[in-house]
Amino acid sequence: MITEERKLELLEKMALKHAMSNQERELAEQLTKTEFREEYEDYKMLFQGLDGLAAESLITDMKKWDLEAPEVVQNTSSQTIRFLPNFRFWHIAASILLVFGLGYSIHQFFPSGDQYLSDLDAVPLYSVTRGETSEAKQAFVVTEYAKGNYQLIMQEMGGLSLADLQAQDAKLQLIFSFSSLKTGQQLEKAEALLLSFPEDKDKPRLQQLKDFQLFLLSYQLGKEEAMNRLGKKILSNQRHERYHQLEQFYEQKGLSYP
Amino acid sequence: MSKDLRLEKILEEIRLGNNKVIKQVYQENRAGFISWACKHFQQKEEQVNELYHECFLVFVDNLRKGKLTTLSCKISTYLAGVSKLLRKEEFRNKKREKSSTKDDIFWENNEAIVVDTSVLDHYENEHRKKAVRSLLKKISPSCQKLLTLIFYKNYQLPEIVEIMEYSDERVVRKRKSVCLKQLREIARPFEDKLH
Repeated sequence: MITEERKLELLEKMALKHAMSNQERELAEQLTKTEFREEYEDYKMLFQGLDGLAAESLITDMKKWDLEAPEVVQNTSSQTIRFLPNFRFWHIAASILLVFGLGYSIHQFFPSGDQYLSDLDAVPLYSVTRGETSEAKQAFVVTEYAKGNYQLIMQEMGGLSLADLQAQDAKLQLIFSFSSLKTGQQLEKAEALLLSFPEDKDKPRLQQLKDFQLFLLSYQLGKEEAMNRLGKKILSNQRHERYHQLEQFYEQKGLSYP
Repeated sequence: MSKDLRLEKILEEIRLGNNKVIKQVYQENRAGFISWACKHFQQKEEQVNELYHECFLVFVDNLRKGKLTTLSCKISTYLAGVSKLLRKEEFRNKKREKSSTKDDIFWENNEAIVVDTSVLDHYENEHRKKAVRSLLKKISPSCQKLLTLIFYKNYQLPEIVEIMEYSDERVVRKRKSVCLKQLREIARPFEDKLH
């Protein structure tokens, strides 16, 4: 024999989908199938109405709490407690200091501070066959590239205009952009160079290398959209020569795949 | 206190209806949720704030109804998961298939999490709420107070004994049953309004 209180408790749990033990559920289901069916239907409506009112009460509380908190995305200063009377002045001064500080840090430590780029190995690009640069200069760049002397390469090639660089052999263009990545110098020029990189279907390896370098340049220049587009392109092809390097990049940076 | 223990304690306090803790958890997670959701759902703060209300309501409701007892992730992660589920349901209702693989992965990894969103249906049923609200006004003041404490405030039996000055918890159960019966009796002539 079930008490009235117990019966109502079970009907409530059933109507509002509370967690129940198997035993409770069985008993509640039995109740709703017997002469209490009608009673259950009545109470179900009442319980659900009460549940809705309880929800409304909590939402009302939440709206009150929202008023106590400042806006999240667009912070309004009116609600901010200012601990300095001339807050705006100090705010601007701190911002300027921060910008200079960051700029200085980047200048000092970048890209050596980027472990991924520091560890990135150069791809063998040793046979240069075409281009407008003299053979001696080409040989110098290729040799220094093999030795990893990227600063020297930038000294040698950095003075060239974009048009001059575009007239170089494709491999020399890649050497220039890789050196730019390694040294953090002339990144915009390197990006422009790779954006006009000669399309040659017979040389898929160079095209893949170009995409990878362009990806890294986009990252360095903070161009998220371009970076994601290139990342997606490379990761869609498991046979891409730089596939694993890109995976490694996302892992090291703790970024989610595009 | 370890993080797990702290989280367990928080969940228990919310389940018991500790309004101070509910408010604290609500406020602690709000800014993070809104910044994340604005980006994730490409929506404005106003819309996302409403979504946060719904997610937090579902979170508290699932705790109260015993559907959520432990969390293997942070509360913020749970709330984000609920928001994705709600958005998914919304899209499904609009017969638009749009859910990202990332969302699916979240639910696959958190299979143990059961989320019941029926409280939102009850909340959105204005007609029924209005009917029950007017019925509540027709029962005795002591019953009104008792049902409010139980259903609105989610007070536990020992607290109700204290507030209502009853002798023990059995009296609370008995009175609750009597008050609900009273409510049902008054509701009978207006049944069609409730259904």
